[in-house]
Amino acid sequence: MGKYYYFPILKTRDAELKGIDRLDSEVKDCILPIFELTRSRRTKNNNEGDIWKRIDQIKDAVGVRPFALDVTQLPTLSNAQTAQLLSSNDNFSSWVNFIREVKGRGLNVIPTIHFDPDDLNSSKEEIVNLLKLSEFLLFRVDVRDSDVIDILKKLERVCDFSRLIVLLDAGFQSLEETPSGNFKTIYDEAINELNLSKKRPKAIICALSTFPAYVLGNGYGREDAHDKFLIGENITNKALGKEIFHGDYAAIHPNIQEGGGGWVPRIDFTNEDNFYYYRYRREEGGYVEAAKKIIASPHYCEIDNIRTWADEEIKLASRGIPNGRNPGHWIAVRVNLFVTKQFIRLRKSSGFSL
Amino acid sequence: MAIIRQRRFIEPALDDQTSDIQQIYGIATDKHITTCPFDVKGYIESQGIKVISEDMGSEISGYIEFRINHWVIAVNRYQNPRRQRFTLAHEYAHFLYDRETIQRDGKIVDVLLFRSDESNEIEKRANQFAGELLMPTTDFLNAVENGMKDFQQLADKFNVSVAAIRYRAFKLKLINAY
Repeated sequence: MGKYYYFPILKTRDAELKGIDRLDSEVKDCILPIFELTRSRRTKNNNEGDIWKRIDQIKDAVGVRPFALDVTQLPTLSNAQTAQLLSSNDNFSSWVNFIREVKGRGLNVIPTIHFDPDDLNSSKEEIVNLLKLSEFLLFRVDVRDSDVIDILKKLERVCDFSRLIVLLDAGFQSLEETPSGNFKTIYDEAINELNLSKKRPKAIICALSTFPAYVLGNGYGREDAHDKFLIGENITNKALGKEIFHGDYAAIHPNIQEGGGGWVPRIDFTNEDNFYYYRYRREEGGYVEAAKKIIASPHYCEIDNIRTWADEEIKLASRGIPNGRNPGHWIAVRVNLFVTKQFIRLRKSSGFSL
Repeated sequence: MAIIRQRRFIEPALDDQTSDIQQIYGIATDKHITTCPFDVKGYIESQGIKVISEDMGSEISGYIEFRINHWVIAVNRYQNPRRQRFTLAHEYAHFLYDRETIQRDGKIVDVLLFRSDESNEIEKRANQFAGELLMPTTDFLNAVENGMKDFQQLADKFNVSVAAIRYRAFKLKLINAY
């Protein structure tokens, strides 16, 4: 088994999965995606929004490589199936049985623990059963939760930490409130608690996103057509030090809402410190104009040693032949480029093996 | 997120679960919910049902779903807001009349509203309820008698689509064909 350096949290929407699917295998081999399972799109022939369609897409994207699996709690991306997977009935048996079936289909899944702090017996039984299916488990906790220390103490009572990857998730953090982009202190208390535990977890991942729902706004872009803003994720990661592994939301706003009414065609790119956006209305040239401007930008440079689908898409669009004219396609491009750049940045770190 | 604090199933306010339009309007008034045009989203949410708008195939208007411990009604976010209002009322009718079926099957998804044949009794009843809720018979007839005969004017008054007005006018035998 190789080492894993980067831990992006991704909802299983088409755009995110496409961005991951198109990654170069060198990148895929060294990241551990944490998929947050969402329903598929409801259509006449798929009116329940079947989650197994998403599992098939994950399999197509990652193959036999390991990935962690959680379940969304966002109402607009949920359905009756995802709600069932979160049920604590019979010691979370729906979740355990689902993971067993996912494993049975040949996927190398690391399950998330569904933990009810008010029902430790259920969680204990669930953990025992999940550990029969996977050598490691993921424990994802919101560090903004005022009970986080109490939750970690309770977890220690029912779980062997050595087989645990702990994800301390800070969700969305706004650059408007913290213009420096350094959110290290959010994690301090939880990291101290984990360091005090009898047996340290296999790995501690700290994740957050500063990527906004709208690129214009205080702390973010000031210009309508193009501007830049900080990548708080990277600033925080550097401040946290080498012992902590890096997670983020792969340049997607954590509480993203689907679709919407009017939208301005926009393409984004990233370097180590900043996000850059270029947005032009259709009558101003749309995606083609955005791509042309990106190619001409002194801040943009193609990745030269890893085949990067996103760079190819931008190049094609700049020549007037974009492969997609909808936001979903260009979100996939952003994910693909951001994840590749994060891999390049983080592969210099120590990483860990599974 | 891995932390699950199980919400116990809370049956939406049982005392309020009436399909009687007059009673519904009385409850809405007591709760300071707008009745003209009827605030259907506000009323449904006041019943403890979660209302969401969702990206779904264009052939689907909406659905009602039971998710372990709570009810969800969803509308197609790309459809006209006035059409969405009718869909909400239609799905709420399913909650009132077809709850047991939904709890057994998990959901009812509505592919098309205003079906011309209306062969399905469940859908027919839901459409009828939605029409009556958003365009009560007395109010509708009064509006027509007071000279409001243009479909668009009526649609504006009740904040529904012209298609819904035509459907209602047909059901009230004001026009011969829909």
